[in-house]
Amino acid sequence: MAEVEKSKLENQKDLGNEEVTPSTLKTIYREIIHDKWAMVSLFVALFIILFSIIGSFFINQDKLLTVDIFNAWLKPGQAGHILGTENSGYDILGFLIVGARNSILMGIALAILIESIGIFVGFISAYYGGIVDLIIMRIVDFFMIIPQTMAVITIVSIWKNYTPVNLVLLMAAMSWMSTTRLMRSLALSQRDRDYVLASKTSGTGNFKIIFREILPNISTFIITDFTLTLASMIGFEVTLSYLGFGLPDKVPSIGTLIGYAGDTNYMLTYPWGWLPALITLVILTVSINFFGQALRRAADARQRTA
Amino acid sequence: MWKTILRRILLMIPQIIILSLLVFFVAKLMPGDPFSGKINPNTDPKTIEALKHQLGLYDPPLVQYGHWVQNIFRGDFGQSYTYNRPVLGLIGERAANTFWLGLLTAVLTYTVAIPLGLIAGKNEGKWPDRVIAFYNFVVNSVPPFAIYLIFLILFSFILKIFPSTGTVSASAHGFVQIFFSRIYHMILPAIAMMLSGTTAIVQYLRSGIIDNTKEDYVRTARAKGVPEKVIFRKHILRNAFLPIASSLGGTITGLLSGAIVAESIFSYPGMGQLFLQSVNSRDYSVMITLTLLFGILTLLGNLLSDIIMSIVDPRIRIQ
Amino acid sequence: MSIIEVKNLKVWYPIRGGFFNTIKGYVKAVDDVNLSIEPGETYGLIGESGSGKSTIGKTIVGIERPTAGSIIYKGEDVTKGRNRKKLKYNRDVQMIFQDSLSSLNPRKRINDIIAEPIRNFEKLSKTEENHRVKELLDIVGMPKGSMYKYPFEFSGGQRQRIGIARAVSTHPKLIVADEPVSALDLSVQAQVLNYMQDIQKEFNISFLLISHDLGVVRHMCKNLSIMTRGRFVEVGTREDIYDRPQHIYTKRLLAAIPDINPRNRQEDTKERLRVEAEYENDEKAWYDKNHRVLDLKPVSSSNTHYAAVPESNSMVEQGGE
Repeated sequence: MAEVEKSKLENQKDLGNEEVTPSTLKTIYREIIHDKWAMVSLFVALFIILFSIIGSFFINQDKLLTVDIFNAWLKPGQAGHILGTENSGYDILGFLIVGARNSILMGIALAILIESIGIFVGFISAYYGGIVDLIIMRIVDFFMIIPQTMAVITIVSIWKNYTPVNLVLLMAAMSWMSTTRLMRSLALSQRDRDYVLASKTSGTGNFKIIFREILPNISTFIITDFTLTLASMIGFEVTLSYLGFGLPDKVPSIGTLIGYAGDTNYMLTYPWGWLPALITLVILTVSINFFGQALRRAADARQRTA
Repeated sequence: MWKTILRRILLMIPQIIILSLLVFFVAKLMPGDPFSGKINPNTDPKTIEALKHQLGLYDPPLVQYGHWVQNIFRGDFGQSYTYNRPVLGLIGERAANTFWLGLLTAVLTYTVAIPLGLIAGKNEGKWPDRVIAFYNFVVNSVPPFAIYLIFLILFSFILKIFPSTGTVSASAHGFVQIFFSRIYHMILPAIAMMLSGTTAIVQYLRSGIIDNTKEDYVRTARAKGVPEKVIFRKHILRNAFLPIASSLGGTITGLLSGAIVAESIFSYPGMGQLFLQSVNSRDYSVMITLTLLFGILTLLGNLLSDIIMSIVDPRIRIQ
Repeated sequence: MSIIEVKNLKVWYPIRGGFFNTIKGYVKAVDDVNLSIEPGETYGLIGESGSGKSTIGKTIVGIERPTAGSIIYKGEDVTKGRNRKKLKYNRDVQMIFQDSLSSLNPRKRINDIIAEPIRNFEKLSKTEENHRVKELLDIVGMPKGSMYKYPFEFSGGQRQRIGIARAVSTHPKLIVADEPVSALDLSVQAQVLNYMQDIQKEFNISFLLISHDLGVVRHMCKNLSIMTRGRFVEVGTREDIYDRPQHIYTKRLLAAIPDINPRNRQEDTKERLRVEAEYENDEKAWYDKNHRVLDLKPVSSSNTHYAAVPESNSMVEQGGE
């Protein structure tokens, strides 16, 4: 009787514990939530992201992109244009919101794509090793020597009527290598642990081992790399758009607005054309990076104690 | 060591071949032909056709590739359509400008990064380390082109300390004047480009020092009574510098990719600016040659890293 | 009729080098080894670290590929992946690892860990599976509540018992136990070994017990082999080896066992020094030119005792060559 009671009690206690059993993600969450500046940066980044995405729903893009040269370069506040207008008479606030949304969505799409490629290719390379690894790493080496920015600009310049999706694929094709290397080394660090061998002797298939056993053990690193990749890919897209080889003409980007700073005719005369966009970009990338680095610190600390 | 280097060089050959093939076929996709703009528009189409046959434009692609490679080895990279002169000479001039800017940037990078790394590593967790960490973070987080732009607007246009364009002022005469005028023109882009180059080196050096300080051989040396200065110089610094030495190749690669954006923002007439101009004016032969050149230079940068690593790291050297 | 038979097993790893990264030679982790295990018995495999004993275990469970040789189970050669799949080999042959922490996935709960082989080989409903896991935990003396915990919440001995529960979850015929207790405290070692003996009796399981601990093997095994440099130096029953060691390496190994009784300390030291001197003097005669262990020969009429002795056992050439 007493025995039963005791085991029942234990059972209940364990069920109660279930909620607070620390998994890596939860530990990191707990650490991050106490990191005041990390939370501030997360809040700022999310604010910009959500504001631009939600705000863009209230903007009529056709109307926004109607050329109105009579209202070109209105000063901020004039004729209901809070941030003024630019060279073609577009409302800068509206342009900035839509541009930020496009740049952010490009960055998110690229980060997702690059992480997926990195996880898939890196894991296959590490797990199978041998000749598979050798071939994949030679391909990675080869892509590393292609000058990234130049290649994208060259291809975009001869590609007629490319879409944003084309651009995402092209940029991802030139940027997947370092994440792949990271994922490979992470998977290598897990591959020869006994729990992987135990899964093999338990008859679990290779793909299941890779994605169900190994993947959860490095998920924190993937999340961290995702945020850092997101920031750098937003920067990459904006750079290309600034140079005039990013998003197609009819698709605004933050970089299009910042482009006015590159033209000495406009730079000092019409600072409201480029300054808000530049400030938005800097705040956005800095806050995403700050949050990413805080995540990395938390993950590393967790790694040390584990 | 020689074996390692030789093997690396042999491994480069297939990479160069594949790169050149890719570049060549991308070039084939580009619109226009070698006569665009050069031939009287009233020429008989049949004559043009004959000329095309003569130039081998209808040969099988691989044969054309062969001709192209042959020409490259003869130093013939084609004609620039906008400048109406051989590509080789045009790029040569610009390459010299990029080289000097790169050299200045590299020198600045190491003179700034190494002291910063040393200070940060020696003062782990104290305020100098935190200040440097903050610097590193900001430089790393802001996209490089935004840094260049802010520098240009602030220092050239608002404060008017540095010139915003060109390589040398027209009024400069004599070697000394021209030398300093050149540096004066390069210093702003060099500082701007230097910033993003320093972060990795500072990071490596800092963690190298911190990690090595905790190694057992350092503790052993201390237990034996080796003076702290000797420990730092011989046991910590020497090991911490290993990754720095090999980062030189990475610096070259970083300078190349930075050059495209930086040179166009600072209106500095180097290869990067030439590249963007050639893209805008659809000057394909220049574009293609520059892409190939940058790829090969990146490869050489990597090779340099490996060679330096195999010289300084006994684990590779002895093998 | 033995449950598994290892025949002329070789596991060689190529050493690459030189300019074209060609194969320069081999590390012979396992070099021509034979052994067979009877149903329900515990077979001991003793060797120092790097002797290749773990490689044999890993090859038997199929996570290491042999260079040559065969492993016969139910009349099929299970070194071929196809045959392993056909026989559902890993349902019958399981493994217990040395490092109990790294052998349990840190991100999975205990019930998922123990149920993994069950899910792969048997179709059970959720409640049946839960029932089985509880049963298994009970067998290794763990409270049922452990099901919902993570590996790091347990001590080394508890984790090793969880590892045993996972290994027996599909009612295997053979379990390869690779140094199952060498990472544990002495008091916990006995406990874990007792659980192993309990489940052996209950399910009639054979063990291949890989260890460097002569005491543990003596306690657990009837038959055993001594291994060094990828080869067997001596094979026999417990009595053959512990009471009548023939090979110089075995003698040296046995001489190294400390005796609890301090009164014998001086004699033991003398004996140890004598064996050591003999080993250093005669070493060359017991290995061939390439430092390879000689082939096994029968050394008694009992038909169980084999040792890698030189042709003329009594006469030892000095200086060699």
